[in-house]
Amino acid sequence: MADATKPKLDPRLYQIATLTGLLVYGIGWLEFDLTIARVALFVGVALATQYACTKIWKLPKFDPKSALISALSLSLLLRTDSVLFAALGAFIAIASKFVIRWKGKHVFNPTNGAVVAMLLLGKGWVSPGQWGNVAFFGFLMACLGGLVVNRAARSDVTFAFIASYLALVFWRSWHIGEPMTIPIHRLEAGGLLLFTFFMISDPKTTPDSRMGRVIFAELVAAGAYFIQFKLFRTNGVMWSLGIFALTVPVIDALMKGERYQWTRPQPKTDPLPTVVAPTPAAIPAPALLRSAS
Amino acid sequence: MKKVLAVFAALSSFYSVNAMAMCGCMLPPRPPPSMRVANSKLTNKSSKVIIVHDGDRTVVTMANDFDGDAKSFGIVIPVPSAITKEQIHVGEKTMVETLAQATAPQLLEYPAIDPCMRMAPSVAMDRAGSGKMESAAPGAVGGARGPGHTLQVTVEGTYTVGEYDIQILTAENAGDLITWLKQHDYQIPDGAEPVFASYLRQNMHFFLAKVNLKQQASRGYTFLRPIQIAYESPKFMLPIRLGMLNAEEKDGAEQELSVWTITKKGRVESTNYRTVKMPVSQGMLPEYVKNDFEGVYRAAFKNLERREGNDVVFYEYAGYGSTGPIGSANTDPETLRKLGVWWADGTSPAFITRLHFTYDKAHFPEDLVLQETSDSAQTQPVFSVQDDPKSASCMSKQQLHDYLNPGHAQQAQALASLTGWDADDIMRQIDKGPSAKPEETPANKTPDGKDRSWYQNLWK
Repeated sequence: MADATKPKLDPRLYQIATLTGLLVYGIGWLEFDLTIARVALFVGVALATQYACTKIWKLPKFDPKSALISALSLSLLLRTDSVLFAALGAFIAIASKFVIRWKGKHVFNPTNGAVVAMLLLGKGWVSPGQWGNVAFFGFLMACLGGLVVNRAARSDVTFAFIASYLALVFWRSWHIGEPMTIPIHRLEAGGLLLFTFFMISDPKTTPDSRMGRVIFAELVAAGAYFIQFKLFRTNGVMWSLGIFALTVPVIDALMKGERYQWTRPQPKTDPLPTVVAPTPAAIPAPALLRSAS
Repeated sequence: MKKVLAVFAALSSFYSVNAMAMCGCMLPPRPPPSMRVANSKLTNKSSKVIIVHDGDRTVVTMANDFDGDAKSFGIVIPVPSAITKEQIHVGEKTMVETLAQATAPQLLEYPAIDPCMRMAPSVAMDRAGSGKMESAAPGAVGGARGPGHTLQVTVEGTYTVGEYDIQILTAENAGDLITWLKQHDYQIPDGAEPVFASYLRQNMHFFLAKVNLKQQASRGYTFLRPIQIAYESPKFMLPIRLGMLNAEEKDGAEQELSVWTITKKGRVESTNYRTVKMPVSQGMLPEYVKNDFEGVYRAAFKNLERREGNDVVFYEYAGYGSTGPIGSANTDPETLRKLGVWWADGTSPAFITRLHFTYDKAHFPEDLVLQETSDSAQTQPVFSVQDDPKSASCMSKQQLHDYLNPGHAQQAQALASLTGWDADDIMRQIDKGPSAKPEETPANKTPDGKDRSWYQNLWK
């Protein structure tokens, strides 16, 4: 029985198309420090790792879409001199989904986990300024379009995060007496938009309950603000998300009783138990989740 | 005829950077190019700052290319904490010049190839000058007396270091600070109060320097030496907002800044603005470029700025500072130490990044925040010119001209795409001969770079 509200196309295809478009723009027009060969490496290693893990953990189906999204996101974010560490980054991104899990959910957003690992190793870097501000509106359209397609499935995280971060950044400038052009400039960063709409919104690594997600988003925003404007380190959003990902199991444990926002009936072919059912926008969980029941 | 064609085919291949004799003829080996770096005329319009940074430690050097009366010199910069006398030092001008030369764009000059297959005499290496640096110091000074009342300004230190009188200040509010500065002959432009206020609220202090004329005379200097400050702070940034106030005064003129960062691991970039690499031209440039390499490079820089937007920072060099030609400036440990590299003992590397940008308030609302990446790839803009043979024993002048023409057309295209100049104008310049000067405002453009209209060209 076809669900009338279910989108005809897998929304991850939209995400793949958007990320590919952004990559083309970045390499072709913004002169990213990135080659096609490097992108191919990320994609290749990610898909190979996903395939290998599918076999090792005996999943019923090899699904390349999530791995492809992780690889494309990694291409947009992670810079490294070394081919070896680029491959390692892609490997960590995918493998962490299978290895670092808690009660049926993987803990770290794959791309974010790989980026933080590389930053900790000192072998990679992220260039938050690489987008400049030129494509701001184009970005915004792409991201909002993504929300539309995803039917606002997990937009609460997105909006809670950006509202909190926006408030903090504006408050700081007001408190210090800086002109408003400064917080506006800070919020127009392409990297921040991508983080807001494509990374923190990952439904697989955010709390299950709506209240939990809002709290989580506010924690990440506060952490990013603290790292950026109190510790004066860079890439505050990356570090903050990596750190607060560890709180998601705690939030889930404390807010277990909350009603989930998932109201759509499950498609008949979905093999997963309803309690951890993904949204259509989500990366489908490996069948490992079934072991909980 | 066949032989001439074979020669033609072989020699036209010399007009690419990777010259290989493709025809299989026996040709003499191509003489190596001579190399020189851009001289200091390249940066004489920009202020120069050198930042050595690792962990929480920073040493900042400000090169003062102030050309006016020493009496009217003064700088005001925000610093993260009160500075003691031991943290201040006056350096040598030569160390800044050495750094600039070691990281300057390079010009390779390929000697002329005699089309009649005789070895051309090698061209002598070009002069590498060190001209006078002439940019204005950030922060002009003039007289302005304010009303007398108790100002809530604390002078935390007053020192004389070298030929400078230095004071470290903090204040309760920006209004009093500005009044104090004006009372002490610092000319503060309009609109400065909110900028000072925002720095004060971030708990920044202010470092002031003026020239002590007696000290300067007794030391026998006629120019101003660079001021260096060492301090501890987690911030890795460049406060440019005060500098922009001066720019506004000069009818919207932009401030230009060359920044060298020296770090342990790798290249430095800005995190809140796009950082873009200066490109290298893709092919040979016309011979006459060597007559004003610095001018051509600046035109290329301006062209790139136009293309990428005025809110971009460019990096012109990334490396260890000793890739210059033999005999040119190299950054040895002693020079590095003088520049503030406290780890310069030869064991840990010192990675130098050279950033260059023009800024104004509209495009650079925030102070520049920097980060060190682990990118240790070395890059330096290198441009190549191919000298033309002046004459050929086997050809007439006209034949030689026609023979060189296709190569010239390629060179003109390369220069046009680099600088944004019109390719036809470039061809006309090339035809004038190797002593032509590269033109900044070619015939069909107005002085501000716009294309002349058809009727302007009609009656010019």
